[in-house]
Amino acid sequence: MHVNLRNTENTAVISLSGRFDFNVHRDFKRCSEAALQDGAGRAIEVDLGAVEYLDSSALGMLLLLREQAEVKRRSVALVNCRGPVKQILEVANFGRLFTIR
Amino acid sequence: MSAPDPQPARRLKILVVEDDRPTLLLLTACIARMGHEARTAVNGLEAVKAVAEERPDIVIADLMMPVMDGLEATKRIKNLAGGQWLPVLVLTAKDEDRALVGALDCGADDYLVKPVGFPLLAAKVRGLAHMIELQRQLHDRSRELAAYRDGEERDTGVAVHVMSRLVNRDLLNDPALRHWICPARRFSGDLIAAARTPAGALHVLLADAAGHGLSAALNALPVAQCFYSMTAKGFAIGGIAEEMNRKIRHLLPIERFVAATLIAVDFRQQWVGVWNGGNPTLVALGAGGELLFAAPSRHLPLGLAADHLFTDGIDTYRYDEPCQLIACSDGLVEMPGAGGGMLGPEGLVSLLRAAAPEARLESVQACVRSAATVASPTDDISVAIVECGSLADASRAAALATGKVVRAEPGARQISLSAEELKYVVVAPLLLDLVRGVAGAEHHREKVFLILSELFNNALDHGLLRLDSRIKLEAGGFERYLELRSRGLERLAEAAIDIRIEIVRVSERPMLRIVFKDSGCGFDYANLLQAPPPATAPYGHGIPLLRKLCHSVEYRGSGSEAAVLYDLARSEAEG
Repeated sequence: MHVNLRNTENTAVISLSGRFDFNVHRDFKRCSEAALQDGAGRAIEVDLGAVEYLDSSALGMLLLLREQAEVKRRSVALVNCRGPVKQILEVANFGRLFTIR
Repeated sequence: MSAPDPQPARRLKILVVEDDRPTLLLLTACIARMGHEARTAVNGLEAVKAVAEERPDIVIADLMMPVMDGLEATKRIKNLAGGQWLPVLVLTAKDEDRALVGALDCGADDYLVKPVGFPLLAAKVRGLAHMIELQRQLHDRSRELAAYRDGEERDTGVAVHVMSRLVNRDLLNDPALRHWICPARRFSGDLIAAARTPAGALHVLLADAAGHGLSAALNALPVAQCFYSMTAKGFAIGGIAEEMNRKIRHLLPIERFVAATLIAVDFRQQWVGVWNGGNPTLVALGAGGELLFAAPSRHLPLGLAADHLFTDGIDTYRYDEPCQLIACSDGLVEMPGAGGGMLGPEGLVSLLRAAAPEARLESVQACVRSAATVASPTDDISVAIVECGSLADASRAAALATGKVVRAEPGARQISLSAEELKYVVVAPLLLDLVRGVAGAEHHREKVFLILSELFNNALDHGLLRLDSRIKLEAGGFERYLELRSRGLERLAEAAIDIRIEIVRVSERPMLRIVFKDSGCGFDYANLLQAPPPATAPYGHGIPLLRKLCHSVEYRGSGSEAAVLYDLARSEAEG
């Protein structure tokens, strides 16, 4: 599982690959904090295109990111969601909390 | 001569085994110089005896010796050492390669070529001493860990005990519900709860707290408490879900959400309601496996929606034939299925449809167990199956009523319910059983059931509990009525309801005769029949309904006995 952060002109993109579960906790936190500390206030995107599976702790990590981002008035979008990831997000109705594309 | 050698951290006991006396004395002197204690033996046999008597820390043994050589001695010494490491250093002459290989194969840890120089011997002994120390630390840490784990086990045992009291698992004996939880660890973050409302409707909760283990189980607790208390007060599941959402949201951090399925079944009206937030789709299957109804997750899991964003929409379904509702947590759907990948929602439905209704739970259990042989489950698995209007359910409930149904004469059935039974018996399935038992009434089952329910409710609510239906007219009236009913039922003592049902012939027409007798003091039925309440009132529909359905309705005595005749010859078209 790899987590990394890259900045484009308007967005801070956190991308993950492999299984998104509790083992990713530290790396995800590190990238989230870095993205949130971004002085330019870029919108945040979590790229799940290369993620095969996410469990409830992954959903929890996304919720935490959203909560922290809200405080700084930054938007969080979940992008490149497909397959099992898309299904899990749909069952959890996360579309009501995040922009999903 | 160099500076005096540094003393070792720990004084070791070293056994030297050598048949050549000068060499033995030399080695003993070396060991003393190193700061360790020397023991001696002149051949392998003596060495083995010495090890058995007083275990040394290290053995230094010559390979070539009379009586028993170093090779044989090494084997036996290693045997004696058992679980804890006893290093053996063998001494060999220059051309003894084969013997040396043999010794190393027998477990010797190192070797020195004779003649032995002190520096090299000391260095090797230091190396072995270091390893011994490491091994000792590892052993201590192992023991600490084992002690800690034992303490944990005891604490966990206490926690399990407390949890089961709080979550009240005995309430899960409802005849309409079958359920199974397979925790991934000792504690399950999944929870199933069931309770009846005062009106006799069944509420079932299947909750999946994020994560698993003890912390997840703790998150499920406030949900269970809320469910039980609100169901006992007669709240509807939408309201219960809303309150649970608020509780979780305010009590727990955001990532501790709880996916939940809430089910309400009114067996009398043959109505099902479902609130599903975050769990796999609930399905209703008919006896032949037909998919009758599905309730997918329409809401956010509990704890995530802000109060004003909470959605309480219920999916509803009316059933005409016996069916089963099957709800589960994602652990089941995400289990490995046949042919790689996950079982998936479609896979689960196929599995359920392929099994006969009474074997569906076993079919799921078998599937989980066989998947577990391949890989141990990583998520809690839970499944609940609710029987709606099934005959199997009815007979189970009849068994609960202590089997007091009596065949008075051929074709007649009778049952007497005491105050105790009225409190605990689940009435709907019992009445269904009564209907089923009367041959000739098969086609009229629903209507007869409705008649029995009405008569029963009248006998209980008005005959025994003396409740006034007009309470329902006031604000909050229904809740108050239900509360009074619940309390009245609790206090009931020395009361009975007798029911008799049989087929009779009236003017050549076959009729079903139903008689209800309650031990109360009756009511002013004459007045009620003369001046019924307005059609728009939320009460009082019972007797008019009876009159519509039955050929005749008669009250006797003080009103504590009701007898109705139902025309079995009337066609379905007459409604």
